[in-house]
Amino acid sequence: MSAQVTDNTVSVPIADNRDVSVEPGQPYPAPYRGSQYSIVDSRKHGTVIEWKYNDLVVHVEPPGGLIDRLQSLGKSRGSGKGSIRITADKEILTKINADSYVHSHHAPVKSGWIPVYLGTLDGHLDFDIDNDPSFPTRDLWVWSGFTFNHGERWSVSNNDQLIWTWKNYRFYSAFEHSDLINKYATYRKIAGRLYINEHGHVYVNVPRDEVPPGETEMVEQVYDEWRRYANRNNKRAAMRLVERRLKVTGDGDPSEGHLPIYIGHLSEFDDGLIPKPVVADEEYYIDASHEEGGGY
Amino acid sequence: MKQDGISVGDPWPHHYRGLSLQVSPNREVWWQLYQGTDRLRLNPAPEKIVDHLLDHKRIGGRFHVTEQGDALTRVENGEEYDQIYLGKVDNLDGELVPDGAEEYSIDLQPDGLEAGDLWPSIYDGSRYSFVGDRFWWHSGQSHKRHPVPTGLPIDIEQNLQRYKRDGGSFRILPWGDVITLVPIHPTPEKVQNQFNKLPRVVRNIIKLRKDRDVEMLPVYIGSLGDYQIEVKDPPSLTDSLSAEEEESLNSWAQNLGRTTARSTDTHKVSTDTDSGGSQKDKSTSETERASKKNNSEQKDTKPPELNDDPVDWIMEDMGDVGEQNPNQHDST
Repeated sequence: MSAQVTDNTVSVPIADNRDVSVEPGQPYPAPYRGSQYSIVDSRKHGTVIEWKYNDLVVHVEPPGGLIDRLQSLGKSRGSGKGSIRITADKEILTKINADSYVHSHHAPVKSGWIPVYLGTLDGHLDFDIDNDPSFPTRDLWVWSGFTFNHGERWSVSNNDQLIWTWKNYRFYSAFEHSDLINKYATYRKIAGRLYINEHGHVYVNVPRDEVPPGETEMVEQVYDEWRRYANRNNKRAAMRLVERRLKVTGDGDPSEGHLPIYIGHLSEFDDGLIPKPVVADEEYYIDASHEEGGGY
Repeated sequence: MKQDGISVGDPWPHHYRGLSLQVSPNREVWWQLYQGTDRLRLNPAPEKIVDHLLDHKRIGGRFHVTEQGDALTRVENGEEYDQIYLGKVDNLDGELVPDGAEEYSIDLQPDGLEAGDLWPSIYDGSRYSFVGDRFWWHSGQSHKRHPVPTGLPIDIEQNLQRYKRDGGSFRILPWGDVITLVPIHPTPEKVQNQFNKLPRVVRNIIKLRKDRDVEMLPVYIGSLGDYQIEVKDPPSLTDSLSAEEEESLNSWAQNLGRTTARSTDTHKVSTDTDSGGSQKDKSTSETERASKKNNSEQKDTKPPELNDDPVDWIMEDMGDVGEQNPNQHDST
């Protein structure tokens, strides 16, 4: 078994520059976000964890301890099935309906779908996709881990803030991330998205026409190299994930799509600070409680 | 009684789908409103299929009839289910008789309908889905989409696109009629009038309620005739790339040098790193402008979730989200 759920108490930034300690099983007092997976039954392999984007589906064994924890907390009336998120700080989250959640009286909103912290991810989900790559000699590469439903999705504003958005809610990171934003700005001229996955890797969307003039050669070279590398090593899944990303973000025209560019690991920026959105409007919890998948 | 060389009692090697019917121990055949208690007896019952089903399930049970008239059932085998071929239903027809209200019987196979007319019978059949001109069958077991590369006849495609602009699921009955559910109809008075003319017991059965506010009505789309739907295996992430996919990857790099000078933007982002929150309002609007410009960037992480079929709603009511209940036989 390659991954486990660990019983860590985590510090979660909340309003007024405070952190709150949250134990596994307790309601999660911050935006519901992160890489999206589901716990489902597979006829062939029993209970599995699933990554999915439209017709692309991959199943692996769930992290040890996860199903038991979901069941004991009342997820999906005790079946433990349903969707989870994993944040950039490896916090595993789910939403449990207040009707069956054992700690609903502790939640900021006591009805509907309550976000719950389950524990932290230790190790790697066993997907045959490299979501935790290592490129010691590279400054830039094509991101070819999961390219959908993967990572916390942040917006970079033109005044160098990371903003987490959902519906009309806009929550700022508790920290400054000037190194990270500088790196982002090297490859994209205007405000846009960046994604941070559960292993701390950061990738950005790069529309071809928005690469700053001085960097186009570099991006072109990296993209060519990556394609040669992927072809040579028969990295079909990686190529398919990138191809699909280009097509979808280009509205069907891949040449107009956004190339997912890997810009580095959080440890390389801002002393390794992990961006953490702070809920500045409690209404968010009410809105997010209306749907199981909502709030991210 | 063979299909592709398959004999009655053989394993069914194709995708499992179809109109769902229930055989009771006394040989009656019923259609039931999903998890509800309302049920309709099919008269006459397809006797041969009932015989074959009772050979495998002595106390009766559920079977399905595909859009080509093949009758199938699933038989428990340890923790697994075997899919068994029960034979061809030559002409599945007759009346659906409400339990205890025989005077309100309806035709299983209504006729004389035009595209867009209310479908005055049960909403059931083989379930397929589409968006634009892409069609697929969704497997409840593997959770995967199995593409229908050759699509459907052009008139069916056009009518589906007309009545269901955003795509979604539809059903095909054993005799080839295609039906779908619509929340909003281009000519609502027409279907509403057709609906109001039906007896109440029938209205209660075919009126399908999605949410508190949304009622969906089944409409007739057309007939497949002899057209056979061909379903392919779902793509796998690790399949070889098609020529089209290869070309997609190439196309991004072509013309990469084509950029126009927008130097102010460039400098704003890359040189002004310490401006803090002083430009908050301005930058907010710029962020939003950027987001709008790149609306595909927002769309990318939210693929359309198709949830327009009663089976999906029932699973939600049960606290599941569809994908969690692959053993739900009705989802075929």
